[in-house]
Amino acid sequence: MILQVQNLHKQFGGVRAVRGVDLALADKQIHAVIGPNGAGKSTLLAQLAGEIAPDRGRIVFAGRDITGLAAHKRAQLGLARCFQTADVIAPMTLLENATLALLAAAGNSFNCWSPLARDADLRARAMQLLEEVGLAHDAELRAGEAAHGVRRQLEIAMALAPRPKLLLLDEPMAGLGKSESAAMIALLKKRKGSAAMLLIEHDMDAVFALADTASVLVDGRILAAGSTAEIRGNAEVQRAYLGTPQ
Amino acid sequence: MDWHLLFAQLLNGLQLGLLLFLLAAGLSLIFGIMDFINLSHGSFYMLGAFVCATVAAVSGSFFLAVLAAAAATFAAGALVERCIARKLYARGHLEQVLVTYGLILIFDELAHLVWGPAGAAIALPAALEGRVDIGGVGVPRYRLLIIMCGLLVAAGMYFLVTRSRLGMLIRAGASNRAMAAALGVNIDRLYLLVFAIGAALAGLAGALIAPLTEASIGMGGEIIIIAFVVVIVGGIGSVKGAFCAALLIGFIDTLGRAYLDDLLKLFLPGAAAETAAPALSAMSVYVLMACVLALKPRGLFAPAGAGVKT
Amino acid sequence: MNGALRAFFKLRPKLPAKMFGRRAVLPAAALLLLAPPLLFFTGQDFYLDLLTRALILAIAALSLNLLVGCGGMVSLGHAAYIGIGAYSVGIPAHYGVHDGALHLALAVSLSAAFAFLTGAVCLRTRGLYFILITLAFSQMLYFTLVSIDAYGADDGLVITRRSSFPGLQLEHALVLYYCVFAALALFLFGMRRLMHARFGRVLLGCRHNRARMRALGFDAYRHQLACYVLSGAVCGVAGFFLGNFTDFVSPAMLDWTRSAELLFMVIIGGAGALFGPLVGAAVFLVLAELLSGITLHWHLLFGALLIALVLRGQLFTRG
Repeated sequence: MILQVQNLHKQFGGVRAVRGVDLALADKQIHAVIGPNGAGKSTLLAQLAGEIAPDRGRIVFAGRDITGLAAHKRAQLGLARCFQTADVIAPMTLLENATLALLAAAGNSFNCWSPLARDADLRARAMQLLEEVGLAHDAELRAGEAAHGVRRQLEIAMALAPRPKLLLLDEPMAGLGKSESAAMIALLKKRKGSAAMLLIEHDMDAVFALADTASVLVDGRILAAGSTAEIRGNAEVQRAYLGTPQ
Repeated sequence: MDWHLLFAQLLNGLQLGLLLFLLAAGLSLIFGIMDFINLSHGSFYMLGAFVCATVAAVSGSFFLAVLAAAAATFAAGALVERCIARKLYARGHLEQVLVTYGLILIFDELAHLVWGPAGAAIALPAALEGRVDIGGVGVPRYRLLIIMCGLLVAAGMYFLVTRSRLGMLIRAGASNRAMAAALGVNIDRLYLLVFAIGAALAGLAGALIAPLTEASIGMGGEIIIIAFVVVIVGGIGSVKGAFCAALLIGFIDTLGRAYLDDLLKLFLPGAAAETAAPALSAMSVYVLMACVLALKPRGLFAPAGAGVKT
Repeated sequence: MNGALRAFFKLRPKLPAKMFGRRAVLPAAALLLLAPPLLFFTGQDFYLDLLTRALILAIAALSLNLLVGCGGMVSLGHAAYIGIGAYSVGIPAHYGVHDGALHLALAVSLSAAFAFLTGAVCLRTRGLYFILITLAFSQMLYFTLVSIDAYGADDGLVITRRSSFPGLQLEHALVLYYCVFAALALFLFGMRRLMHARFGRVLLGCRHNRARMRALGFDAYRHQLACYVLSGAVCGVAGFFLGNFTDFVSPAMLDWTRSAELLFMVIIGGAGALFGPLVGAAVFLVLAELLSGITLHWHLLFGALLIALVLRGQLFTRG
């Protein structure tokens, strides 16, 4: 098991966003968390990434209890994450973004003297990273000026740069067109097997195309969990969330 | 230990605390609801003092003068909100800092032009002079009046924020501006009102303190920094926090100044204590702030979501 | 004057960092190198003083630019470090110690220490809190110095003899000027290296998207704290020079309005622009001279100008 979550709770004021969530994710597997808006999916992910401290519960990652660990320490352990809004560094070019992503693992980020752009090795690796997601031709484009789909792909490339053990994805298909979604699914499929992924997604086609297992989160609780086939067949889940079978 | 002196010092601390509350309550709401960093809040304090001095001198009525000061600062606050602050809510904090710094320069120079470089003193009406005997301690009548006023305003603010419809909107605005807007609140009017009320409270504080210290040009700058500390310690956007923090800081500052040298003389030679005590008591309030922030970076009672804009 | 101002602000957004950085550097450097002897030997002491003051303020503004422009941390307490630097000259001199190396070492190390202690608290917060807390800590130092009678309290200390270095007589206006010039050149060069090195890039990343940087595994807090300490130390050097230049230190040097002026210089020169602080310091001093020539109440004009500029969005060029 790469990730085990036990009895996770989070309350904001009077709102109980996450109440008693258990999750387990095997190595190299893709697990989808689905559920209606406001079910607590993003809160759950933010707790796993270390941006929100849980009120109660335990998170074990790669055999280590990380419940109280800071976000950047989790990242250093191999837990990467993508945000719902395709968070990249807007004023930097795609290449600079990719370079930054590599820098975290390359270390010595306090160097005040040697120009980063002249580090040929790092630059080549950043270029390679962009190539892997098909963005090499846009390397000098500013991230802030790039299309939404491009920023999403860039963000995934950045998250995968340090070869993480687990990638948390917050609605990677949101805001993408049909062909962009297909490209994103292909990209993630290609990476399946190199890292486990926890996927929050509304796009059911993507979920069924990618995920091995899935959980349904409703009102901060896991309503059902199992293989994607089981989830698809679960009558209760269909009533609560999926509506009529597609 | 002189218990009478301690009692008098406690009253002084209470007075300072309530004065700070008058400044900090409005400031905290302006910071929290509009996410607007208003450095020039102290100018309303100064303005209140000067208006009070002038009206008291002309009309001879101190009571009228205090009312006039509150009304004038209410109007000045509304004017500043309409003409300047409103245009900056959506901008960055840096821009707000520069503009409100500019406002301070303007207010100070205007005060200089209108009232001259010297301060303006206010004579207290005879009815407010003298002392009242409380448990063997003669307490100046006027200090009691300040304390009563402060408590009254605090009670009024408490009622306003927790019980009234305006207060409900304010609380909604302090924790979630988007939600307040979605509720169909007239945000423009709410902001105008909050800003003007905040300014009037500061003006009231200035008017009340003027008979003790006299109105002077630098007076806003000196106290406003402590009021900032009160807002930070209490939590931006929280009136309750402002009240608790204001009293806490009022007591610490007053008692520190009064007793720290005696306390230090227990550990240090007399001369060293005499030197170190003023410096340490000047720092005490800020050290408290650092300690609170180290434990709770958002202050003691911060509503969620206030005061963070990137 | 009005026309010149208007032209400057019309042009400024179109002349971003690159213009200040490239074509103007050599002429500007030549002017700053050659003009002072001319001024000195023709008896124009007033202008030499103005130039010296501009360069000292430029060092202080450069250190604030490192914080605001590179790190995105809006500090309203930077004058504290000017004060620390200046008192690092004033207090030893008060006891008859005039060793410049000691003064400079004190200025840098005390500034860095103060920055480390306060920064460790400030950087736990964001936005409004950060601005107010930096302000509060600088005022703490201000009120502390005001309350110490041994060092002149409100009145400060007169420095009867400037810091002495072997072979360098800071008493001489030109020597002091060239020392300041050399320090500024050194810091500009260092800043340029820093901005393009890993540290600068990571800071920029943290400025624009802290959550992303943390998710990538960067310890944003430590990088920003390092930046905060470095910035404080550089500003301490500016204070060291200012103390020597004015032959006098007082708490007024670290009043928060001084910090606001520094912010103004950084912004008017363009936050993040390498040579922005130099331009900003020059503009500020010239503006102050011009406006105070018009009226005694020049703060009125300055305040109005400041408000008008910000409201019309002319001070802030994005991206």
